[in-house]
Amino acid sequence: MSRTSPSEVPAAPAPGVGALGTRDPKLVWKKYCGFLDLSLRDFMDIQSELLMEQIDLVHASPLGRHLLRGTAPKSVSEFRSNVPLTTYGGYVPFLSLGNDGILGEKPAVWAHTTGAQAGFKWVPYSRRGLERLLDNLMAAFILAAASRREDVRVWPGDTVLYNAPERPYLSGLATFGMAERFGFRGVLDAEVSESLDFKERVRQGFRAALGKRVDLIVSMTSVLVKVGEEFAEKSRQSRLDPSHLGPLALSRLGKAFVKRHLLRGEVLPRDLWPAKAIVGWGVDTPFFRDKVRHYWGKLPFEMYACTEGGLMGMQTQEKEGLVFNPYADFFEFIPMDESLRSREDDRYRPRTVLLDEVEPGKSYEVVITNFYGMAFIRYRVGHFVQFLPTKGDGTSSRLPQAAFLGRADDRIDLAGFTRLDEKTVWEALNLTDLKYEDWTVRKEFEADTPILHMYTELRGDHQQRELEELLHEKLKKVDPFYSDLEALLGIRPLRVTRLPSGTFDRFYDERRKGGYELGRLKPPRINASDDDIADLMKVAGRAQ
Amino acid sequence: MAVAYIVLPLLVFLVNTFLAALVVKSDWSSFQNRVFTAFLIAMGLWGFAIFGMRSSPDLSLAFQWEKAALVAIAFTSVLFCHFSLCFTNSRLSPWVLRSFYGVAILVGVLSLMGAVATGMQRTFFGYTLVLGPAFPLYLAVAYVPVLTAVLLLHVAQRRSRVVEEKDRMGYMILGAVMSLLGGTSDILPALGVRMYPLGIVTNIAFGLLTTVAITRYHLLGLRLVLRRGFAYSLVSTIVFAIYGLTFVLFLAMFRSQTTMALAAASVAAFLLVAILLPPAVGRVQRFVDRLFFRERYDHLMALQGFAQEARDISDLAGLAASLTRTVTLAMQADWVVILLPNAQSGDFVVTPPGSEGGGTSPGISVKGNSSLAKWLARNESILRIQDLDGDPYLQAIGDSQRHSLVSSGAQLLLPMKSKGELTGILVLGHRLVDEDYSQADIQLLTTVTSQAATVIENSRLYGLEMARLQEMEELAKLKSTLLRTVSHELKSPVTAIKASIDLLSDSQGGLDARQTTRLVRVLRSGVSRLERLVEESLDYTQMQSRQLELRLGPADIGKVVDEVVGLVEPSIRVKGQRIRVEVPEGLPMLLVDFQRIERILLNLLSNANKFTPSGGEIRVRLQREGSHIVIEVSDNGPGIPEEDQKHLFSEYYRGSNSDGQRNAGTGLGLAIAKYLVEMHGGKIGVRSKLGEGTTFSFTLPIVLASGPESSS
Repeated sequence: MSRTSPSEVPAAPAPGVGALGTRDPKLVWKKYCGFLDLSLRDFMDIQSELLMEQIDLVHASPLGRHLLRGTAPKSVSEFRSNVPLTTYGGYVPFLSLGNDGILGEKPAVWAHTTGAQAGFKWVPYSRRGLERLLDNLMAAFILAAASRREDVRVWPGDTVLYNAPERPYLSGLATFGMAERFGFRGVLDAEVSESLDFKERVRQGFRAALGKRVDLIVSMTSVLVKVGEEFAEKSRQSRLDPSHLGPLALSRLGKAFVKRHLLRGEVLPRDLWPAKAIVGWGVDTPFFRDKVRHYWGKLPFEMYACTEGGLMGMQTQEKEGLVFNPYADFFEFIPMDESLRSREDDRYRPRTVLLDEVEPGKSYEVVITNFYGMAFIRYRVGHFVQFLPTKGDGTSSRLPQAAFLGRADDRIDLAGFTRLDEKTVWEALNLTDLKYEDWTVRKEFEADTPILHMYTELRGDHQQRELEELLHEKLKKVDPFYSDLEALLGIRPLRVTRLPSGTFDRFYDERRKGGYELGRLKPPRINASDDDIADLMKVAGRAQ
Repeated sequence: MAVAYIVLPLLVFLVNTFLAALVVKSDWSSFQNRVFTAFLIAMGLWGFAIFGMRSSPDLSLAFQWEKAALVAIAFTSVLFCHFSLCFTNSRLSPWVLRSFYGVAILVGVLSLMGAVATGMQRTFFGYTLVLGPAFPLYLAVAYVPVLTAVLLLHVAQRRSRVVEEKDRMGYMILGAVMSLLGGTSDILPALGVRMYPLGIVTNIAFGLLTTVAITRYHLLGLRLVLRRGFAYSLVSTIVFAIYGLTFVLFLAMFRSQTTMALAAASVAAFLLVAILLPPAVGRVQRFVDRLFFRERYDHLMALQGFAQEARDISDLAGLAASLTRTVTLAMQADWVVILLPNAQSGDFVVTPPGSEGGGTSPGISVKGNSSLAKWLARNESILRIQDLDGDPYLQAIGDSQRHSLVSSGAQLLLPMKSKGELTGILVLGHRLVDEDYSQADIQLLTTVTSQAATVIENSRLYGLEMARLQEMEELAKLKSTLLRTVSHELKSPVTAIKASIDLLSDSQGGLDARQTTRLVRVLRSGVSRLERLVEESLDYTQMQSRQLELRLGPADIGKVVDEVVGLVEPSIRVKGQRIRVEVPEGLPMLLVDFQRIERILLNLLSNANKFTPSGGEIRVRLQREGSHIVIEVSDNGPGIPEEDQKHLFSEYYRGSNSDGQRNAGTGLGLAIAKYLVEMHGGKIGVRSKLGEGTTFSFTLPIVLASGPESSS
């Protein structure tokens, strides 16, 4: 049930000028994307100022008193040394439905996201927190469409094709918020879109977009790739049925066919939905960049976001590393070795560093403290990032840039020897050129021996043995520690179960009928639960 | 005239070509600039076509060139509309622009076919059109897109909150309107109106104004430019009119004279005018300045006045008030305040408090270590309130700070700097006239603040020095008071100790046990009193120099109370008093300086013991109230008069006893107790009624020394 309504999203001046206040691209760039030009010192100043304000806002609230232990730290160092790190478990007694009085002011909206176990993680958003999220998203839209500095191509009134979960997922809130604050119109009416199932929303969204100008596409990268592949397949087989297409769509199709007939012989989505920018998300985004560009004509623009932290970082207009946004949260980073040690020993308190202390090439776990009177303080989000080597020219930003590595709980520890994560599996899969529908991998035991069991639905004919061999070799190639398992221990832990065609779709349908929330309509890619696997196998027509 | 008639269109071609090159050079990658370049090229081609038409030897050739000019004008108009659409990022149905282009193409074709104009005819100045059947369509394509562009620019100008942007659009609107008027003057001769076509001149201005508007960001306010232009024209006209009149007069008077005499008289007349005119022109100029630039004139007068008053740096409040008055009048602002750094907190606060520069000034302040203060310290330029949202560094300003500035109506913040340091902030509210602060206003304010900054900083430093001198004098006074008090207090115990030692020495063992015990008790009491005196003096000295540091550690406050009660119990027993201690179970540990808390309690209990009569009752009670522990020490003594209660915690204050005599002691105990309690983050107070007793209470915050880890 949605706990929000459009009226709860902060209203803004009428679209046209909207919250922008100006039509000058230079000023708009400065306002939304100017953080890229900050020096590291300025970045840290901003972080410090907002943190002190946050402490001021929450220290007297029930949740704040609990987290800050009745104190109000007067400096960043006092805050970091006196306030312990937290995880969601510590917030559960406070962040529950209807508990509006836990923070200084009543939240403007409550967002949720799927928790590790069944149920939701609820996250209250203050008015300012929501406004900041929307402003950061505006920055992302601008950067996504820009090819250079001050190149502002998105404006209030632009049309956006959203393939995103509905409210109160954060993306759903953002959809409504962007409409109200900046006048961005969805291809589908927002209320209608929300009433649809996710798959149907995607389908109808693309269909509606055929007859309209679409300026931006905001979608999970995997959806874009899937739509692109299906579309290309249908066009190659001339299975596109133009009877349901309107005049604009037909004219685009006509132009596309003429163009493709002379050049390539296949119609691609970019011919029918030429957008100024594509905003994609998902751990798999880096692997599908080229595919997305091929099908959609643009590189997907990546953002770094989560419900607890909002929109924390984004690429620059050059679409390379992620730059942290200083207004989103106060950022600390736990060095990887400290993080691993703390996960092995509950009592160990890992040290953290700030952005001006991170080292290029090293990996860190992200810790955030919300601003604007929101709830999370020194919160371990459970994400890992790696900071990229610094570029000398600083053309896009002087701030450190990072790459998202994965989630802490999306890692499989095999024999204490190697930790495989979702990104590694994606890398290996990409190298195989297998055509897969979907997959999930988890650690299981075979006569007390740990194995890596992949359940996958593929297209094409492959023998079981051949599949295992192929994947095993690719995993060895991308992860040297995995390679050592065989070289040093003689272990080949990979098992592959090939699922019949349509298994994941049927799983989705069954879960939907069972009333599961969106996050549970597919098994997680890494470490699916026994229930998820059991249901998957049931749907696949086999007993485990 | 004939030369100008032919050459001016060539100038249009050259100017617009040059401007197109300028725009290409500035930023070719921008689509908007590409459209504008196309517009300038079309304008240039029109100029070249007009040159061709005007320099043609016959009507037939002129007509060919005119057809080309008609085509160029159609596209110039539509391109300008397209450019305006891009520049303002307005939403217009794409079919509108498509139809404009479509009609322009149609008109172009019709022009070439000779339907818009069927030929040329001669006039007093040269050639003009013979109108054709499609001429109304040509008029539509020439006017409607430009009028649409003017409308788009006007709407965008009204919506924009940026002064520079408004100015730029204003220039473009002016250029477009001039172009429309000039174009109309080109058409009227074809309709039989006897007038010279001015389209060439206005289109030069159109191209120049628009190019300047899009390539330069900071432009002079349009109104200022117009006013200056008009004022200059008026003065020039008056001067030329005087010269002209003089010439005509002399011509009339000396008409009958010979040419030589006439020439000589003319020269003499001009010389006379040249000698007499400058002072007159000066007066005329001043009159015109006052007429058109009244406010600037007033600015300068006000600045002069401030310079006079700024000579006396001893009165900071007066200087600040003078500056705010000056700026308020000069800028016609609703209010003006100066924020200067507070000596203790470093925050910038209104100085002097309650200063008014006009209307009701708001109570705003800027934290000294805030990003706003840092920004002002780093930048030389002023800050407009709308920049709070636009500048990436300033977006970190806290909500309360932002709200206080916005709700107060602040419009401008100007940094005042001395030797590169931010020494003050000048804040202005809205103007009383419904106008934004222009660039000229900003320049003036910048000049004023840079001058005032040094003066005010010097005054502030002077004030600080005087305050420091006064503080030192007071410290010296306090020191002598302390010395005096301590010496006086030392006398009694030292006398008692000395007397006891003399007795012991003189007795040579001849004293009995009772007498010896009594002497030892006197010695012990005297030493204790000396010890307390020394501790109090040390604490007081550290307190004065702000060097007193707490040694915090976890403590069980119930145990502290027990220990202190144990120390005073003998004295209580001696007076036959009763002591009751109420400490509830389960009180949390506190993070306190154990010894200092002990001293506070000892002080309060000793006072209770001292001022409660024999047989009286003393009660010590602890309780938890929210996030604090409250410790109360009560007695059923005579109570403290209300008059004395106000001074109890003041230094050296010693109340009087019931006989009207001053109580013993240094008078520092309670002052030190208050200081120590406040250092712990607590509060101390007293409740007392004559005849009913007294309760001293103080609070200590519950701050855990260490807490439990959050669960994973």
